[in-house]
Amino acid sequence: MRARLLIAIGAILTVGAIVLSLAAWQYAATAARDAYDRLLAGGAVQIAENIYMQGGVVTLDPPAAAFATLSAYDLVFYRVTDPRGVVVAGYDDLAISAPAAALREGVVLRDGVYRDQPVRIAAVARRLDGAPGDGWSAIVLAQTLRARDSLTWDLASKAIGLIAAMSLLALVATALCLRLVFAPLTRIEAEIVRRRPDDLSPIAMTPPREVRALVGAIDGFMQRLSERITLMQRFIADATHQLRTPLAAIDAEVELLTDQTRDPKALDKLRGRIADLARLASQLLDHAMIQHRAQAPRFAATDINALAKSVLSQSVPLSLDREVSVSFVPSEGDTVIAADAISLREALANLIHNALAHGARTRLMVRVERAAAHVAIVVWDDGPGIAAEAQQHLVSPFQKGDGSHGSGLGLAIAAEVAQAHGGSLRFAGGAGDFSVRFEIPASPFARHI
Amino acid sequence: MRILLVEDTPEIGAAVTSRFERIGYAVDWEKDGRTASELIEVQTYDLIVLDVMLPNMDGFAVLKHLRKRGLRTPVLVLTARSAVDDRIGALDLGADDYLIKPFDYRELEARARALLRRAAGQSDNLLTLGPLVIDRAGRTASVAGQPLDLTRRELTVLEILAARPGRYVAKEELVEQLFSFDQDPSPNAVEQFIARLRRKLAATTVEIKTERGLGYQLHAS
Repeated sequence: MRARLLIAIGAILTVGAIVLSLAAWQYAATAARDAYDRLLAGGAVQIAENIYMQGGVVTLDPPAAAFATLSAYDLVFYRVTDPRGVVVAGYDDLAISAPAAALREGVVLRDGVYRDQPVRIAAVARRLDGAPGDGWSAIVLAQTLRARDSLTWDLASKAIGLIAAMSLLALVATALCLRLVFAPLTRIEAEIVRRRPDDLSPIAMTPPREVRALVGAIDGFMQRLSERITLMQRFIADATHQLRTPLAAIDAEVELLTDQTRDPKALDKLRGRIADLARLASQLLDHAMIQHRAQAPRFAATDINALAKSVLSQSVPLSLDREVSVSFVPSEGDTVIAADAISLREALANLIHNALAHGARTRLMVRVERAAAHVAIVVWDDGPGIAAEAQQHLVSPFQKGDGSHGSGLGLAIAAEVAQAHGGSLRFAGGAGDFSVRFEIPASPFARHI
Repeated sequence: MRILLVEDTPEIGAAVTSRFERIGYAVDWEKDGRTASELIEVQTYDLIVLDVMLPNMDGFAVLKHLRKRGLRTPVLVLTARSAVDDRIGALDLGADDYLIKPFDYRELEARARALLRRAAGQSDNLLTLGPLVIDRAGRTASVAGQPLDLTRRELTVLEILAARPGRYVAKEELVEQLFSFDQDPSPNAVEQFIARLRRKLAATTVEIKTERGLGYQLHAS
């Protein structure tokens, strides 16, 4: 907006300056012509006054002073013809395209070309007593334009210089003015850009009167947005809770039916479906929360060894029907990095759940690896693994593998958490030796600690 | 074993009570947060199973109050709220474990047993016998720093034996601890676990001895 205004005003000023310069040139040219025309006409009259009759012949006594003045910078040519048309002095071929009668009225001035040079020509006629014929002798005086041009240039350039200086000043003044006008807006912009996406507090600066309404409107909008977001989060949390509570009650009813039924397998199936549904509800919430957190990661010093161990101990059910050996291999040395512990816990819990639900025949291992630039949590199992062509596909939300009862959000959540940390989720190995590697950089985030 | 259950949803309360009573625990079922908090002051329990959303006083407040009074009774929190922060919050406030509703009742039973075992033994989470270290909270075990690759039930067997160094543990007690009431408890399965554990411990100085009629004993040299 500022640049657009500045360009528009600059364009107007430029056009104005060009028009003014042209006009100045015109005035300078006219002024120079008038001044030198007067001199030229004076010269012609002086020559006319210096002709006389001598022995019946028209004779010229050249006026040295007049010629000196006129020829200071220019070439001067003249011609005097007697009434019969005989050239008595000067250049034979010098002529003026004006009727002879006009010369008798007074000095006639014309532009012309003489010997390939543009010239200004003055002509006048004088009647001498005793001259032959009608007694009118014609005097033609020509002068090249050098002095006029130089005067024109001199006058015009000074005027154009002034115009340019004024235009430039006007432009600078405009820029300053725009800067002053837009300064509060620029400060507001800078403040909003600097903010974290979850910071919806009012703008801190005191705005000048002119933009107070705008700042008020922005503040009001942000407050409404903040209220909406809080409301949405509370809604998602409440919705999950509201969904879970009746599910838990239904599950409890199933539990109470257990010793009255003759078909415990059907009850187990029902229980499994309830668990799937509950898991879907919480993953939907987790997914929404992780997407929200990814926009404004809240990194804090997190010990990956301790986190992985605690998630592993919580995620493997004590009542698992299959006998799966579980081991945890911590990384040697320091694994404290800046990370969002809450989303990391969810990501890892999902990976372990997947490994137990779809992988791990007899063994599950969680290993923490620390390299110079990154920390990786590897979830290894001896299950069938994920086919290479399905891997990319399964990282997208709601995509599930064959035979999965899950929501298809588990891997998507893990992949999103990895991305939010600037890391990646990768698969390695195949059936019997499959691992998912959750890797996040350790150093680039160190400054957040 | 006396257990306090604080839960206001009737179905869940009934199901939990029924499950615990069937394995021989005495259950006091309370539906109101404040009443439960008052009850804890006058009655001693071996385990408290605590719902978070309760009338009058929420589960977190009950827990905070309990820990402020210095009571170390193990607490298992049940929550339907899954704002992940809640779970962390529960552990920070001094809960020993948590389950998210709806939960598997066999898992509830297993976790309750684990908490009761822990409370009966040492108060810290590490169980040490010679070179053998069992991290009860992390559910891992190692011998001389080398992690052992154990299933949950193998770890439970090892934990029960390690908690009573030098004493014999009857096979029946292991059966009871390893299987929930709706699973087929089989003494043969216990023998299989012991055999597998012995195999995994073969390279170490930790060994499981059998005494006919008495049970198993863990020995470390």
